[in-house]
Amino acid sequence: MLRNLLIAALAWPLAAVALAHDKDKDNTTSPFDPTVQDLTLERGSPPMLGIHWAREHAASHASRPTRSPLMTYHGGKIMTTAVTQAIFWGPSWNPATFKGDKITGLDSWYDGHNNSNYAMTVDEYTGSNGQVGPTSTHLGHLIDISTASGGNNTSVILAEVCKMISNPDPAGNGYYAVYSEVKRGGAQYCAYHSAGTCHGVPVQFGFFFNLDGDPGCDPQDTSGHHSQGLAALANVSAHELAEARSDPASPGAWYDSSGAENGDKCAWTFGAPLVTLSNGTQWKLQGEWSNAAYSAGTGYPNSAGQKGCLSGE
Amino acid sequence: MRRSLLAIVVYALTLAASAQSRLPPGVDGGTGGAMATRSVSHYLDLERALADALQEGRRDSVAPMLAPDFEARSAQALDSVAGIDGIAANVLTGSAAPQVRDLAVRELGDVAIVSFFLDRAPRGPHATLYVVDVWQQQAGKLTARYVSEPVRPVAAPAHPRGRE
Repeated sequence: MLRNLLIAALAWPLAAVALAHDKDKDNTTSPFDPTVQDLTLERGSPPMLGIHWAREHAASHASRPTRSPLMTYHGGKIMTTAVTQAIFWGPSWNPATFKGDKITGLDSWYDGHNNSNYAMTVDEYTGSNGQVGPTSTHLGHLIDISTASGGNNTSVILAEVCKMISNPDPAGNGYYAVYSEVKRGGAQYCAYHSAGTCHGVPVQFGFFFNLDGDPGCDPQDTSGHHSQGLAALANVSAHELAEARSDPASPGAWYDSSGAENGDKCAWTFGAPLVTLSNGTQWKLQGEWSNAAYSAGTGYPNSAGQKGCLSGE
Repeated sequence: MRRSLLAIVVYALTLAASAQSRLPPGVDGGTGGAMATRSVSHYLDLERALADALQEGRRDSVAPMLAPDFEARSAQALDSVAGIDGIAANVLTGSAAPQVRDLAVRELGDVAIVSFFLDRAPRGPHATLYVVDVWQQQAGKLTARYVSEPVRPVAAPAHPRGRE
């Protein structure tokens, strides 16, 4: 009996690792569309080399560098402007009971982002192709009622973007936000942004779970202006778009020594009860990290107490 | 026999770390990318603060974060070690700042089970640890830490990926 238990204990995690390792071996071409290439997939994960239960090796460096909260530049491009379009994916986006105010609300959010003080919180960052600008152009939304995916495979999300967007912005400033009907489940994230190419054109894209009734991703907007699900999607949309503008793709532009981007560094902290966008709509949005504000001492504190967050209010 | 069983459990936890729900490969263009949940963001802050305080030898900062009955166990020394001595056992003294990555949180009432990889400097075959911490959520105290070494080299990202 004990032997069987031991074998099971060993076999289960080995199988799990094997599955995870197989996923890591994905190549960069989408299995759904050979013209779709995901530029961000990692290659060449090291093979399992065996167990080395040696003790740690003590280091002998004389001193430890102080960890700076500032983001630094890593040589890549930024988004000088953004051409946005939302994709609502899944059969649930058809009935009014599910979509409620979310589709019209998110269109309004993206419209209001253009030239807003909130958008301007990212403008200080420059890249190899220029400076982040506050303008964005929202092209509205598309609905795809085919069965939606969760977020655990970026190639699937990119393929959805390429399926729905026949003519991505040729300048590479296209940002396509995929709102899935699938709930988060055990995933440890609410949304993400990534990059790839559709038919040879670079695109930025975001993925968003269905956040209805999800306390782990809820900004707790009590204003009454929006449904809970819309308010949650708006807040995570703000986070992802701000990050995509300042750190869009490999090799990366702006992030700190822990890898945190401007949205990460101010996640779940709010500088004002509501942020007013350029079209007058109001939302509960997290702030975005500003090196300049931190250096000048003019930001509000993030969860680590570092005063570098700006909400544009 | 009990020790063998405990070792196997720690071993299984280590292997399972590679398969737990984290970001999909390639998310983020190689950088931050994902927006962590509230609980992941919260415990990343705590674990990073704790790791920095340990690295810098700031016992006054570490002590308030530990529950009175805190204990640590590792796959290398299965006997529990209480208090700061237990949590400090895996620090590489004097090295550069450690990196906390691939953090996941499971909340069970007042208990939060937090798992992550801890990359210690200098990078090498034994620099990465897999850590499972048990936090008391209301009190904000760390009550137990379990440490093991991954059975295969777990590549740190080319550059850190932060809140993934």
